[in-house]
Parts: sequence; C-alpha cells; structure tokens
Amino acid sequence: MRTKWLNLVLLLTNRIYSRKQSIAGQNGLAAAANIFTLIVLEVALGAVSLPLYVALNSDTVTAHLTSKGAYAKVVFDYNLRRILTLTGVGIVFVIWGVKLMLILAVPTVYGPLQLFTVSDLRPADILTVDMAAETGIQTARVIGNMPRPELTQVKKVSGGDYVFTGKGQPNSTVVLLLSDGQTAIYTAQIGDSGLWEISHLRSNFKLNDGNHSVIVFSYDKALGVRSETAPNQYFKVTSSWLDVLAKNIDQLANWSVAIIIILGIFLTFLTL
Amino acid sequence: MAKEEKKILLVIEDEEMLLRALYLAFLHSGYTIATASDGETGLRMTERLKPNLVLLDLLLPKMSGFEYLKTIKSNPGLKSTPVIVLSNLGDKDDMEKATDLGAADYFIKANTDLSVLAKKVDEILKA
Repeated sequence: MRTKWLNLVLLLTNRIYSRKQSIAGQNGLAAAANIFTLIVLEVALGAVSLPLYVALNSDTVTAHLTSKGAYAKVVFDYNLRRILTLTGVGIVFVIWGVKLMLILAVPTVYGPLQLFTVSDLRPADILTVDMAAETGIQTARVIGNMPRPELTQVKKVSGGDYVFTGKGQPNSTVVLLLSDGQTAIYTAQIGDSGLWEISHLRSNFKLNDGNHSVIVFSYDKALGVRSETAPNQYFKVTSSWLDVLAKNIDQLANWSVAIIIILGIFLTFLTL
Repeated sequence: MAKEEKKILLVIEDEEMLLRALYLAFLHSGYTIATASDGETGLRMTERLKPNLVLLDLLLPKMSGFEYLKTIKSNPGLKSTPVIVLSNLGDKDDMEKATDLGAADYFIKANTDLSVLAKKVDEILKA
C-alpha cells in the first residue's frame, strides 16, 4: 500500500516534470492548456504528498551520522510551491466543506419575529395578477364594526419562506397584503377554529432585511366590504450569521478557486 | 560479538518531494539512509560516509550527476561504490554515458516502480 502511494507520488512528480518541459517551447492555447493541467497536477500532488511533510521532519530525512564524524546537516528548504499549493488546497477544502455542511444542515426553524403596531395605515401599491380581487379589495368599503382579524405571529421557516398566523371570525375571509418594493395579496378562509394561516414563499419574492409592511383585514367579497386592519402591521426581517454565511459562501468558494488558479499560474511561472 | 553495522544508502536527489518519498520507501529496509540535495553535498557525504550504495539523480544543482560519477570513479577510495542512477533523462546517449562512467544500473523515473528499485537496491546491498 505504501509502495503504491509512493509510486503515485513518483508518477505525479514525473508528470509535472514532463509538463514543464513541454510548456517551455510552447505558447498560446497549447501552453495555457498545459499550464492548467500542471496546476491540477500540482494540487493533486500537494494533497497526495501531504503525509510526506506531516510525517517526516526535515531532521529525520537528513541523515545525521555523528558516529561517522561530524558534518553539517543538510537542511531542507521547504519547497515554496508545495507549501503554497497545500495551503491553497486546504483553504479551498475548508470553504467547500463549510458549504457542504450548510447544504446538509440548513436550519429549519427561524422562529417568530417581533411585530410592531402603528396607528396610521399607509396606502400600499398593490401589484397582483388577480385583477378582480385587486379591484374588489381596493374598492371595498371599510366597515368599522366588522370583526377584524388578528395577526399573531410571523415565522420564518427553512428555505426563506414565511408563515403568517392569526385568528379571526370563523368562516370569514382574511386578506393579507405583504410589501417589499412590490405587494403580494394573499387570501385565506378562516376555519371553524377561528385560526388562519398564510404562507409567503421565497419563490414569489424574497424579503430583504429590514421592516416590512403587512396589512391584514377581513373581506366580504359579496358585499364589497372589509374590516379595519389588524393592529400589528410591521415585522422585521433579519439575517442570522448562518444566513449571511450561506449567502456569501458561494462567492467565497468561487473566489477561492479563482485565487488558487491565479496563484498556481504565478507559481508555475516562478518555478519553470 | 561485534554488532553488525547497518549498510548505508546515500540518496542524492534535489527534488524534495521525491527525496522524501525515496527516504520513506527505504526507511524500514534495515539500511541507514543518508540524503543530499545537490551534487557537491552528495560528494562530501560520499567521501565521509563511504556509503554501500548511492542512488543518484543526474540533474542536480552545484554538481551534476555525471560530474559526481566521474569524480568518485576517479577516486581510488570511492570507485568501488555502486551507483544506481535514477533520472528523468531517458535519452539513450545519457544512459550510455552514465553506464560508461561506471553506474551499476539506470532507472528512468517516469517508468520506475519503487518495488523494482527496492529489489535492485537489496540485490546490491545484500551481495
């Protein structure tokens, strides 16, 4: 097993040597292709040969036979290319490992968000494909004594979706207007239990960090009337450190690969 | 009874990766391994240690493998030291030159299996 591994080290070293010899007389695309292959080989060799550096100290590799008479130790200088390649490979592995962990272990519960009460009702710019609903809702008369629903909780769930829950008059219709640059109109039937639930999917539009307006009221389409709005009208969206990391990990991973490639090209020219 | 001294294998190779790999390959063979990363140091170590076998690369800094071979083969005290060349130079002329200078064997790195090399080393050192 050890011999096979050492033969692999030998093979990669020789391949790298051959590539370097062939690059010397080339230019253009052929040289670029060879340089790319060289970088891949260097990274592979860096990973495969790691135990040679971890397991063997320079002192061990250098013979120090005092019984044969003193002579100067031959001190190895670590090959800069290998060390930097290994460091680069290590960085890439760490970043991609973090990314993989995030993919596998996405947080499933983001928890309820704080709700705010404001006294004024801001008119919303309503954009919806259901023109009939939009017209009806926009022109509905506000009836003061019509039971208004309550918005009791806004919960962020995995995937960046949001679930709005509340209570209201059973068997009535609740309308929820959610704004973030554009406005979504959601309707739901309140069940016999008096509870209602509406989901906003990330695929509809992503809610950015910050305050968001959410208007909830009861609506009677047949009569063309609606209630006053529920008192809680704003909620705040924040990103956890995991969200920020997940958001940036792709960029970080892409940049790390670019940096390694640039570094590899630089080092290859340095050591040609 | 005198303790039998271990045979000394001197590896002269400037590619650090390869030197470490060769060191590891022969570490548990029962030999004392000495290493050098250039021709001049290799020559100095040869003069001092009188190794039983030398594994020699040809493309070396400070003193090439060919110069090293020429020097030790012209030294009466060292000329009987067996030298196995391990090189990337696969040219027939280079192989003939090394053999003419006294190399016991020639291995081309690209085609070398370490187990075959180890067998050759054992063959020479146990003779």
